[in-house]
Order: sequence, then C-alpha cells, then structure tokens
Amino acid sequence: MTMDPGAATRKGDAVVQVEGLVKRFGSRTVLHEVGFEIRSGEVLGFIGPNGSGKTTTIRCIAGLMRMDAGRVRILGHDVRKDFERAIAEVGCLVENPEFYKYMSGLANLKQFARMYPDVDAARISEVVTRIGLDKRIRGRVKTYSLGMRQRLGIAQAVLHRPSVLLLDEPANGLDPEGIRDLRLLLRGLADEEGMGILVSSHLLSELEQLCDRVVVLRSGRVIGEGDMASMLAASGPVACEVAFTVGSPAHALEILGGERPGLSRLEGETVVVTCLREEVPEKVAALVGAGIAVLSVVPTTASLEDRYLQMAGGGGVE
Amino acid sequence: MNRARFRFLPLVGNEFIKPMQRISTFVMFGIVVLVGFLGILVSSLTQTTGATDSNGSPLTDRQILTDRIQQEQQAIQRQQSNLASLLDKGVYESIVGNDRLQPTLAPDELKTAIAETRFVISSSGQYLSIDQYRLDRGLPQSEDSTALGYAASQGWIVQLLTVFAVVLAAVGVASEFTGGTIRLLLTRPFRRWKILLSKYIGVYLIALCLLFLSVGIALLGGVMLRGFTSSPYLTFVNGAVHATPMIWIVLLRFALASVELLLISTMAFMIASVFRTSGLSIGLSLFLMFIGGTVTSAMANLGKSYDIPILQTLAKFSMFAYTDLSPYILRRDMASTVPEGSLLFAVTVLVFYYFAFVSIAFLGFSKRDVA
Repeated sequence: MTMDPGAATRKGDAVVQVEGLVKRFGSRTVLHEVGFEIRSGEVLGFIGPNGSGKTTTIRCIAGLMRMDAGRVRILGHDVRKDFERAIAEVGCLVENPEFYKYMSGLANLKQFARMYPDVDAARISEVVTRIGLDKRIRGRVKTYSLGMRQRLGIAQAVLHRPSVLLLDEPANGLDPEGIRDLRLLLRGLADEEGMGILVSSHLLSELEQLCDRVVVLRSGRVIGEGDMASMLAASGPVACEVAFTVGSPAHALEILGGERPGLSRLEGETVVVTCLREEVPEKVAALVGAGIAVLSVVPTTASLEDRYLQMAGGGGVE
Repeated sequence: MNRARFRFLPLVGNEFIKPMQRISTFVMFGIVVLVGFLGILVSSLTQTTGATDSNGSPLTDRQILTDRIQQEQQAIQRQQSNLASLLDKGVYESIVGNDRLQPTLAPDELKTAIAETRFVISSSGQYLSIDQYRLDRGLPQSEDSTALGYAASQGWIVQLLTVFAVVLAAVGVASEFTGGTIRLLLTRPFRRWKILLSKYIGVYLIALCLLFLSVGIALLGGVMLRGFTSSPYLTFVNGAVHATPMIWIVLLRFALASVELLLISTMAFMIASVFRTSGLSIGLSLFLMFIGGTVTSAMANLGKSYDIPILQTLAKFSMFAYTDLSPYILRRDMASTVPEGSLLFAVTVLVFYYFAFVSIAFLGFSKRDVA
C-alpha cells in the first residue's frame, strides 16, 4: 500500500477538514474562522442567506481563492501546500456550470478526462448514462438547457471518482424530475461509493430530504451545525404557513378563527393559516367535521426552512 | 494508487484541441491559404518579362550579367579616378553631384569624401565579384528570380500570422475567464503555472502549423511561378564570395520574422493573463505592433536632432528597435545599412523583454483569486 491517506478512508471519517478559515476582500472580512468537516459517506448541507460566504468557502476549499488564515485539508493533504494531491480527490461544481460552448458535451468531458490518469472512454460513458445525458451528449453545449448543463456539471465533477464532491447550488435550473434524479444520484454516491458530498443550496426543502447533516453559515460565521434529525427535533415548536384549498373558503376561514392579519387570510379559493405544525391535523379535522370539502393541504414553507430562518434571523442579502 | 504524478502532455493536447474546434481558428487557416494564393496570383500578373534585346526577345541571364559587370567595372573606374583626384589635389567635384562639396575642401570634409569614395569602390567591387561568380558558374542573374527567391520574398506573411497568434493567445487565456470555464480548469490536479504553460505551448503549436502552411504555400508558389529554378545565396565575406543554400535563407527569413510574432503574442498573453479580457489584450498588442517601430525611430531621431538623451535611451532600450533582426544577420555586404549596436545587444534586449512578459503573465495568472 502507498501512503495515500485516501486508501484508509472509512465511512464517517473526515475527508475534508476546514479549520479557522479567514478570507478578506480588501478591508472587508467575509469569512470569520469558518470551521467544519465533511465526512466520508455523508451529504452535508451548506445553508446560508445570499452573501453569507458559502461560495467563497467552497472556492477556498477548491483552491480557487487564497485564504488569509486557516487551513483546509483534503484526505490529510493541505490544499495550499500540496495542492495537486489534495485537489485530485475533489470534484467540484462552483456556481453556474459553464463549458466550452462550441464543443459537444462529450468533447467537454474528454477535455477533463485527459487531465486524470485513470478516466477512460468506458468511464465517461458510464457517467453520462448515470446522469441521464446519453441522448444529447454529442450535441453542442451551446444547445443545452440550464438543466442539461447542470447535469453535465455533475458529470465532470464525478468523472475521476473523487472522494469529495463540492456542489454549489447544484439544483439550480433543474426541473422537479432533475432534482429527484440529482437527489438519488448524490445519495447513491454517498452511500455506495462513500463520497463525502457538500451541497450548498437555497432549496432548503431539497436539503431536508437529501442531507445527513447541515452547516449553517451567516455573515461569514458558522452559526449552527448538526445532524439533520436532531436539527429538526431541536427546532421545537415551529410556526409554519399552510394553504387549505377548500370547497367553501369563506366558511372555512370562519371555522379556522376568522380573518386575523398575519395569521389567517383568504387567497381566492385557499385559506392560508399560520400555525404550529402539530396543529395542522386538528384543523383538518375541524374542517371535515363542519362538512367542508378539503381538496388539498399544502405547507407553503418547509420545516427546515423555518428552522434555518430562525437561526439565520431572517432572509435578505447581507 | 499513486495520483501524484499527473502527466503534462495531455494538458497541452487539450490546449491544442480547444482552439482547433473554434470556428475563428478555422477562418485563420482559411485566410492564410487565401492570402498565400493571392500573393501567387498577384506575382504572376505583375511578373515582368524583364529587359529585351534589339529583336524583342528577353535577355538571357548571361547577357544581363555581362552588361551589369561592364557597368560595375565602369563605375569602379570612375570612382577610382575620383579618388585619385581627391588624393592628388584635395579637390573633388562630383562624387554624386553633391552640392555640399566645394571645389576646395576643408581637411575633415576631404577625409570624409575620400572614405566615402573608398567605400563605394569596395562595395561595387563586391557586387562585381558576386556577379562574376554567377557568370562563371552559369547561375541565374539574381537569386530573387528563382523559385526559392519568391518563397523568401513571402516572409511578410508572418506579420499576418502575428495578428492571429495575438488573437489565439488573448482569446485562449481570456475566454476561460469570461466564459467561466477557468473554474473547471483550475480545480484539477495541476498547479496553475502548468495550466498556463500548456496554454502557452498550445498557442505556439497552432502558430507553428500556420507558419508551416505559409512556408509550404510560398514554396509551392515559387515553383508554380518560376519552375524548379535555384541559385545559392551569395555574399561577400572576408574577401571571397560565399555561397549559402537558398532554402536556409527562406527559412531564416521566416524565422527572423517570427521573432516579432513571438514577442508580440507573448505580450498579448501577458495582458490577457493579468487583465483577463481579450479585447484589451488584442487591441493593445496590435496597436503597439503597428506603431511601436515608428514611435521608436521617431524617438531616436528626435533625441538625436534635439539632443534629448532620455529619448535616445528610451529608443535604445525599446523592444521595437530590435524586433527585426534581419539587418544584423542577412547582411549581404558592407554597403547595407547596419543598425547601431551589436547583434548581441539586440538579442539581450529582446530576451529581457521576453522574460519580463513571461514572468508577469505567470505571476498574474497564478497569484490572483478566481471568482
């Protein structure tokens, strides 16, 4: 065996260790001692409002930006001191998936395949099949939709079987089917191939179904980190907004307590009520008991989002 | 599994393939072919039959050479009698009808006049020797009239290639930034200088293809226009006629023209690496390419006429004073204008500029953050 630390990785071991990461743009500090780890076989959600430093953190891990202080180790290799070894274990998709538009998707993948010693044609077609681009892979990237480029972006990131996957907003531009495919793909890569995957996203409901753990970033600081399960449990009573689509909305609003600004209102055929998650079943029961046809009950905000909003202290660009 | 050694060559391959798939590169190859054949067409239309004898048939090489040798001998005799009168009487009346020379010359003017006359005699003698050499061996009256002579005359095409190399270098670097693909390139197991070096080599691989294509068309054109005629390139060195195979002269001309290509496109490469936009890089490089020489000689002349040392120094260390090295190397005889300073100095200045460009390009590319 060689001394390659990658060979010794077991599920649950840290594959990326970020310690005391500081980044300044001029006099403005955008990352304040950010620290967390990505473990083998997990999907780590990376949440934060716009401008909280998610992308900057990913850029520092991937070596696109120099850090002003701190250290990033990938399978034990320092990104700054041993860049080539460290980055060889990383696949990443930072921001929008941009390619050489005048070339086909396949020609693009071949470009990246040539940069690794062990990616052959068979591996390329395996990946292409897995991300579901077989039919259009010979077409020019110029003709691709954003969703297709997003898929190609995932393909170039996983081509060389990295131990670490860094995905910045990978669900951007994907249709619901694409999002489901992505979720299945990432879960498969984490569970079967033991990759450690970092996913930043604004689609919090997607993260809830996908991630094992989450790290919450705000104003360049980590303000929360934990298992998805305990995160949800710890969230305690969380108010959420629920839209009831009913047969007779006016009557339903009366039963649900009448019009109260900020708590319940009428929106065309639907009654929108803000209440605790636990209260939803009894409200449905009340409506059914009053003989009102309940056509649908849709939570308009997901629970993780609520938790996140509570931690992050509201949205808005920083 | 040892992933530490990543091979560099495939990177260069990538940087060759990428531009080759762009339509603009295809157009460049098309233009080189078009311009090459246009040159052949124009030459064939303007080719004069040359002097004719009393019967109207063109003169043979032998006839032309005999005439010329006669003229050269007469000129030398004339100059020699002038020299004799200068030496005898200290009076000179008509070297070349120069008004400046009065019947009675001041001692230093006389000295200059004698030196000039000797110089004319000596260089005419060299031409005479070269023509005699041609006559003796039955060579064409001039190597310019041969197939390879045509090829050598097409060295100017390299200027066109310089424009293309500038565009290739600038777009090759800057488009990665403007297109956002730089992130896909820099997050690979290669340090940044390797990525940039592969781009740099890729540009010159394509430039080299264009260069070979131009040389090929020039050679083909020579044969089409003048058949398989050839003559060695004759120079007068150390008191004897020296013959160099003409093909070396053809290659030397293209190679010397490529010095400018290399420097200007490396400058474009540097600007693109630092500023990450192709427009500025192409614009500035081509602007300097076209006005650099003129501005440099204007500075030198102004500096000399008005005695402004700073202008003289600037001109002396300007890259553009030396991008054309042919006067240093392709000197047929002592009569050719020889620039001030030595070849060694010229090359030193060029090497300095080259390494400055390369260093700035690599620093600019490697040290800065990528958004």
